[in-house]
Amino acid sequence: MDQEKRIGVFVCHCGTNIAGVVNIPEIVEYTKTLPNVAFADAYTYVCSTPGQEMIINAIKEQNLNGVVVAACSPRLHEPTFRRATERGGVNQFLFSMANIREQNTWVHMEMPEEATRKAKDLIRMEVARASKLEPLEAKVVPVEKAALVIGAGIAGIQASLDLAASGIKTYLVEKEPSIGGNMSRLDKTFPTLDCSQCILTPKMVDVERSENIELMTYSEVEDVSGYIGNFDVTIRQKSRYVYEDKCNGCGKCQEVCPVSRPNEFDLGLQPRKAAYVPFPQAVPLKFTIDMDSCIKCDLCKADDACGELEAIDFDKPDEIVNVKVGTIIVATGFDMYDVERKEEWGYKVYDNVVTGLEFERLIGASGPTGGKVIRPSDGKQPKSVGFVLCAGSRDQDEEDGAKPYCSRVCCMYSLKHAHQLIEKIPGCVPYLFYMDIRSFGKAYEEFYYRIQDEGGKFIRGRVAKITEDPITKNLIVTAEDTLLGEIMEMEMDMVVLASAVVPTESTQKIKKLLTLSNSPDGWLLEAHPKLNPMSTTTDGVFLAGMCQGPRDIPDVVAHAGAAAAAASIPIHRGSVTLEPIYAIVDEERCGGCATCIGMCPYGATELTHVDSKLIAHVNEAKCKGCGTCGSACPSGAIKMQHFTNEQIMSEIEAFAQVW
Amino acid sequence: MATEGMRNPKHEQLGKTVLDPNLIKEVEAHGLDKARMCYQCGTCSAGCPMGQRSGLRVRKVMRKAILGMRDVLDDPDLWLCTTCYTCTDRCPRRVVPTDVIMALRNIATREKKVPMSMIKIMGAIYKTGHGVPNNEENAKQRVAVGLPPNPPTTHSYPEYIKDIQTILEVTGLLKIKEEMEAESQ
Amino acid sequence: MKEYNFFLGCIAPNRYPGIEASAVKTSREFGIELCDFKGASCCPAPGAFGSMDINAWLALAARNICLSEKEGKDIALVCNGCYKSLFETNYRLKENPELRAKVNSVLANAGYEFQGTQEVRHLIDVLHKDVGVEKVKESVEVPLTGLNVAIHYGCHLLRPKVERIFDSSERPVFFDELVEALGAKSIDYKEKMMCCGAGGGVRSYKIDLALDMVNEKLYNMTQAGADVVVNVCPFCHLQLDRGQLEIKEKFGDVYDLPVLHYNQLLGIAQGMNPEELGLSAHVIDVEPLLAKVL
Repeated sequence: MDQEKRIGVFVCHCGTNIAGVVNIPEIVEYTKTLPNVAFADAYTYVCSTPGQEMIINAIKEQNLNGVVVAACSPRLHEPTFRRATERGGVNQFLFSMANIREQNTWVHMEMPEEATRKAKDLIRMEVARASKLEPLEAKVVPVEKAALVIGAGIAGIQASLDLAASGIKTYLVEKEPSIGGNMSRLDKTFPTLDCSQCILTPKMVDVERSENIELMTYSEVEDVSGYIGNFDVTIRQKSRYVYEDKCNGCGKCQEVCPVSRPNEFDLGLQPRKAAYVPFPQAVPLKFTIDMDSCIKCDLCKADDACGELEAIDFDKPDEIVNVKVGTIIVATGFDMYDVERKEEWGYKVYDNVVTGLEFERLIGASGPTGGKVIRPSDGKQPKSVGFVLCAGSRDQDEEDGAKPYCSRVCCMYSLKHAHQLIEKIPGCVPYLFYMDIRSFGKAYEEFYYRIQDEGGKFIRGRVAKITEDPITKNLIVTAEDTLLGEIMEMEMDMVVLASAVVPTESTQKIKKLLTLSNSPDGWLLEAHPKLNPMSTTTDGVFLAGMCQGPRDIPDVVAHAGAAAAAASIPIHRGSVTLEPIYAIVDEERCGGCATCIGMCPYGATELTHVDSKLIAHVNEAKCKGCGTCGSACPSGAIKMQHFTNEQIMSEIEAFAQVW
Repeated sequence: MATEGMRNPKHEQLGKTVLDPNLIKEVEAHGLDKARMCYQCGTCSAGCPMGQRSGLRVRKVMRKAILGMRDVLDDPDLWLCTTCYTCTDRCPRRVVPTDVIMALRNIATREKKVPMSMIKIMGAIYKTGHGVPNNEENAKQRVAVGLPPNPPTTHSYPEYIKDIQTILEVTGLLKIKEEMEAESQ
Repeated sequence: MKEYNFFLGCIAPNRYPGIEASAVKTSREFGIELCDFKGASCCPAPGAFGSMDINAWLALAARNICLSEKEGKDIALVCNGCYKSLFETNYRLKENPELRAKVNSVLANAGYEFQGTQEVRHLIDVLHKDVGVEKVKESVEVPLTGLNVAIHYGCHLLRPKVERIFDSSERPVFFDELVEALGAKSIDYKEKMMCCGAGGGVRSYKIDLALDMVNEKLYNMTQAGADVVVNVCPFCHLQLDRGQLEIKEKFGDVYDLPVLHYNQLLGIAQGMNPEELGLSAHVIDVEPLLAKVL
């Protein structure tokens, strides 16, 4: 440093939080003796307006070129004091804080003398560091006025509609041939018993009609590079072998197609053709040819089918599309746990044991039985149906892949199923085998009351095993009625396993592309579980819906709305300011060894050519300033701005001075 | 003036449920750190083959152990578990109920609450090295199938029996056996 | 020739020597030599003995393993109970140094030290994994066609699944495969995986309840059309075989269902003489079964 360092130190009382433990006047006097300190004073609340004015005035009157505030954690007021420093005319990055509250008085309340000594140590260290700080400029990057939403279930649909309505061009990418996700598989929704398709399809149609939404179905995100405000996304639009602009959704190809396959949308419970739409209300209503099953008989191309429109082309290739977006929302939804791994319940062994989602297809009007609930084994209507709650949830058994978390929706949907059975099949008795009934939401407890009133039976005991009568194919469900202390072995016509929900496989792929993390339970990791569940720690990437954790439809919609709002902020502002706390490569010293490339957890480093020499380059927007590359670089070519080796060493040396 | 009549003597105990928070710790000291995590789902009781034909309810045993009701050590049903481990395999909290029962039995044994049938088995092992020792009729059978009359175990090498006796002694089991055999006279 | 120290336990050598003899003879057909295991004792009975003191159980089980470690031989056995005592102890002491130290401090009083150098195998696993279903099939001289076998897996072979090596404890198939390799049919019956009721010290403690359990099993097997019950545990074998006599005496139910240990069934299929398999020692007459297949 050429200039003489003149640092001002401001010690905060913080009411009694700090002053009630340590001796402030003694600390101030000590601070004045430190090298490079031109001014030191104390105040009751430095973060207040008069407190900030004190800093600004002192800078001007004392000609300060560095500021240290000894107070609370920087997490609280670092931005406040940085702004005050700037207003005083000093670069905000010449400001730093010594935390003498959370890291001192709040943990050493019984030891005032030692705490006073520690406060002096902490201030001495911070002053030493402040003496080495350099002025830095925050970097401003422009934001592309477009957003990407990955996944078009209700979460992705809601997020896209909100983004589009606020004027943002939104690319909505869905890997299935139609949007709608799992919600379109549902029959009725709790607790209102609204028909799921009826409330969903208007939104689906809105998506298709929206001018700001560019819908890409049967498409997958293949690559994402860049950073907030400037993401480059590569999308593969898989070939339907059908020209979307020519297809009018007439369905003649489906009629003549001779090939049948299990319909994925119906979880395999009813067939579809190789030329198909997943369900009648599909958006877009365009047919897809499943080329893995197609036998190329050309019947669909014949005159009496698609001949006139000529929409079918077996040679139509996939298309690769590149788009630029400012922010991304992940809405990849959920799948059901493969509950056959819990062999004691006999799923996929016994005909009449189904999962909750399969039950939805059976009871749904567009399902394989047209809404009649019948047993898979003989088509008879069941008169007694057992519901196994917590099937694979709240379960610590890692061997079977069971999940330790609660899947949140199953108590409510099992109550709903019970109601539907009572309504549709007179005399049918549903038995819910439960550990707890979690009816937590608005009108949910009332719904539980209603189902008990309507005749649902509840047995408090987790189902230990299910066996099958080989002749009738009835199930014997064994559970202890823990309220009675009696072992119950009840014969049921049919059993529904309320199996756990799990993240989809595509979530793992997207996670790697966007360098996101997941929480220990496998769902995507939010920025803060209470205060920011819709963002991630990757700037510009947000989460909507179940991909972040199990939730019911109202919470999915709320979450998606929050994600859309958060994702729209950088776009509406037009630019983002990046804190200049990142790594910088000294190109002279860099030997192009690429050690830093492998180490960076954020993918922020890359090798580039500079005058035919391979040099590492840091993408400042992606860099989080974690310091991994800085410490790993064998040439010492990487400098961590605002936390340079020099600055840190001076802090350590100041600490080591014997008190 | 108040006088004592035929009032229920239990009235003194009412309002004073006695729980011992140490009981579960004694159980967990047998290497069962998850024992306290039971959430009373009843999967164990439901699959228990002995529960089908007796009053044994594994879930209730767990409840008593966790709350600290020491009377579970006096429960004759505690010894009905065949250790088939069905409950353990299915327990969603990985509590290992079978081993909790074994731990309770261990604790009960130290308090000399173990059935004499068990002590008898220990006696046979102490004497011969076998819980089910050889007999004359069986020795003939052995010869008939081409085997020597005694197996090559401690039956043929009785010098190893003292090692077994040492182990029974240092673990304190021998003392329990001797005390219980004395008391039963 | 792969050599194992043949751990006998108690019931096989001291009540059903046919199980011991058939194991030795049938194993030789596959190049497996089951050697005399000198100085072994009761495993000790895991349910009965372990109920009294786990540490003593571990120490006595480890003592048996130590004897085999001295000879550098792996152990093979034919009893689920012994499998729990030896396999589990071997596994636990290998995995947990603290536990090992604790057990060794008890063993030191008798001059033993557990090293963790050997393996413990149930013979049924050796047959399935090392020999293989195909080779077992090839060794058959008397196919057991038309024989309906009710297989009893038992408990300690498979459970607890986290301390065992088999794929499934609810719907296993390996024992069925080995029985069907002999030409017989493994039949399904109600509560196939249920315990026989003998373990945990219950057979000595409350025999009526223990017998009630095996009575249920025998009933289910008979209902499903079983010609024979096949097991891999001498204690289950005793419970199923002698148990039928006790059931007749106490409850009046009669099944006359022959009971064989797998090695005895294997011996029959390999053309051995019923006498050398010790079948005449069984309580329930095996003649009707032999008449059917021979």
